[in-house]
Amino acid sequence: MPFQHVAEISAWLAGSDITRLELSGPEGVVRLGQEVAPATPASVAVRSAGVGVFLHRHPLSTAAFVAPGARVAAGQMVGLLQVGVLLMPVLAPSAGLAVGYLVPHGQIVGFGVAVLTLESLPQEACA
Amino acid sequence: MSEAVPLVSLLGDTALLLEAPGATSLEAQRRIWALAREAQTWPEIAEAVPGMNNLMLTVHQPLPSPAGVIRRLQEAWPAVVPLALAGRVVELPVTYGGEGGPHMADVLAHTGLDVDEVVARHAAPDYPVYAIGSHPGYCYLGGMDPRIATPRRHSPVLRLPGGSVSIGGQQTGVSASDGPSGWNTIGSTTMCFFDPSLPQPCLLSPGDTIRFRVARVIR
Amino acid sequence: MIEILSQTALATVQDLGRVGALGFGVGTSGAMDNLALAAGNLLLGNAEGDAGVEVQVFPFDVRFQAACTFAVTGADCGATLDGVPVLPWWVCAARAGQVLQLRPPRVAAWRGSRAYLCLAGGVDVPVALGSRSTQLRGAFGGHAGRALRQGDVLPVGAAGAAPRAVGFGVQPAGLVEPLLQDGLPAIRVMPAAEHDCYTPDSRAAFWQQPWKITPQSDRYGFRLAGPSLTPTVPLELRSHGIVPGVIQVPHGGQPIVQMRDAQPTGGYPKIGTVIDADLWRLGQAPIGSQIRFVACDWAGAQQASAWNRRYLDDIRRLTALYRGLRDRG
Repeated sequence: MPFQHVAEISAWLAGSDITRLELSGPEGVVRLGQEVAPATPASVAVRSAGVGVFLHRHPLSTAAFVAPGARVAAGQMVGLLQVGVLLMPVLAPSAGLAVGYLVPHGQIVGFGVAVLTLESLPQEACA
Repeated sequence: MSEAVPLVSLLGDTALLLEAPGATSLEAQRRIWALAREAQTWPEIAEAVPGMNNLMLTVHQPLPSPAGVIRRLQEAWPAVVPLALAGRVVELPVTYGGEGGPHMADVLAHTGLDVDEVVARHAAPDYPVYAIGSHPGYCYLGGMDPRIATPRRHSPVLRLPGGSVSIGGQQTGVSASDGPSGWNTIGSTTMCFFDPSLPQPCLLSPGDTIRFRVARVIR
Repeated sequence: MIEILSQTALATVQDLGRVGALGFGVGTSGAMDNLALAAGNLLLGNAEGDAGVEVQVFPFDVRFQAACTFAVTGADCGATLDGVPVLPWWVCAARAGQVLQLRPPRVAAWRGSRAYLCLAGGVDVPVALGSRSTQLRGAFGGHAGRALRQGDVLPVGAAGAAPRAVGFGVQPAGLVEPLLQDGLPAIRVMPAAEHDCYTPDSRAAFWQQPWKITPQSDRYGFRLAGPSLTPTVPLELRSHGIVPGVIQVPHGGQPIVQMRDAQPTGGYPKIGTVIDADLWRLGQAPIGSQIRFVACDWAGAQQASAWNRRYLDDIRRLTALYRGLRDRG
């Protein structure tokens, strides 16, 4: 019964960059969508480039690579993907302001999973 | 001759130690030298290192169990033919006592002898080189007069100069370079015992002989 | 080439040690934390046993005289390159003229006391008696047979075929496989020949009480402070071969663990031997910290060695894969 979960699915959708979702069941079809308002800054998701354990910080460190609200440069390391003993960098595809991590420290993520949201810098949005 | 069984113990998981039965003797040491030569050919063994009537074997890793090596050692001990190493005789002039022999007083106190008696007894024998160890080029010598034996110090001295002539328990020796030592130093000499650039870096080898000559006695 | 900028370095060039010269009275030397040095080398695509710089007194500063790929492993010492933080256990690139600074080790999830500066191509000092490790007692090997001083310049070997990926790392062994006993770092020990010659109280204390690493601890040996260990009868032994890890008990009753610069022979009674696989754990224990000894047998020691081997094999395999992907991409 898809209608039961519309509220929580909508909330989840809001935190993602998925713009349209269609749920179908015996009772009918629900189409959920979100409009990206042209006035609000565009957001970009930093995605995992592989399967592994996503880390907010280096295992020897207590500080996360980025804090919410921090400016992030294009190519800056925002997390680590751990596979066995190997630690690979997760890099920001573009500059932006860090909104927050989308998965907890130490969670297993798959390929392409959004791990951090970046909001475009205001001056860039104006430019 | 060697019916008594040698004691074999483990030095962690990288080495074994065979201790010859009975009192320290040149005869037993000749057997140690022979056993070292044989054990060096065993595939599990990285290095066979003779000590004073004992032999340390370092093993190649991994070695699932040391039992095979222990059994072979115990079988080989009575079977080896003692090796006679007839080496060179090297004479070392020694200044006994004074600044270069800071623990002479401790040896006198322990033995109850006077300086001249200790020096005479120390310089009298020809000392066969039993083994090389402690530090690069250092010779362990046999044949010291048991009357001048003095226990090792309660706590090692952190920096003893090279050329120090010392007594530790039933043994005597000459340090080849500066370093820590738990022995009682009774004199000093000058001699280069070790050159790492040479194919055979040590001045002396097991089977050579050292003779101490009394150059001076400082009271 | 790298230039040492620090005044009181006490750092030495070390590889995985000198094998086969015990018979000349020459101990093994080698990195106190052999896993950290080997891991750093594998990260850089070096041979596991290439030489690096072992740093045990901080701050420690070096200048890269030419561009160089490097990794700092071992203790996390908050390294910076021209003031910009670089991650520990991480492949980094330095340009000619840049200065690397290592600060005192930080208290982290895993706390060490020695850092390793590993360089792509390895520190290219001459091999002496089969090793590049510094033999302090014999005053040979490493750089001029001594600890490094301000102004020393170390040659770096030719790195493997370029390009080489940078910007990735590995987990420190101390985080992957922590070993604790009642809240203190545990060191596995096999009983040695004279273990049973100590009083029952002494034996119980040895295994149950914590041991403090005293300030009189260095690359030669760690002098420990704890309950006094007393033999049932006084022991006087003939000098015999020893290896790093052997725990000697001088007449004073306080044990000394032989470390990498240990002499190859000794005569004090031996109560136990730290297993080869745990020497790096002890080598990283800071002065003033406490440890516990845990009993181990031959099979347990072999299992521990096999774990170390797997850890390094995993690093070799995964970094080679990753480097291959990055170098192609």
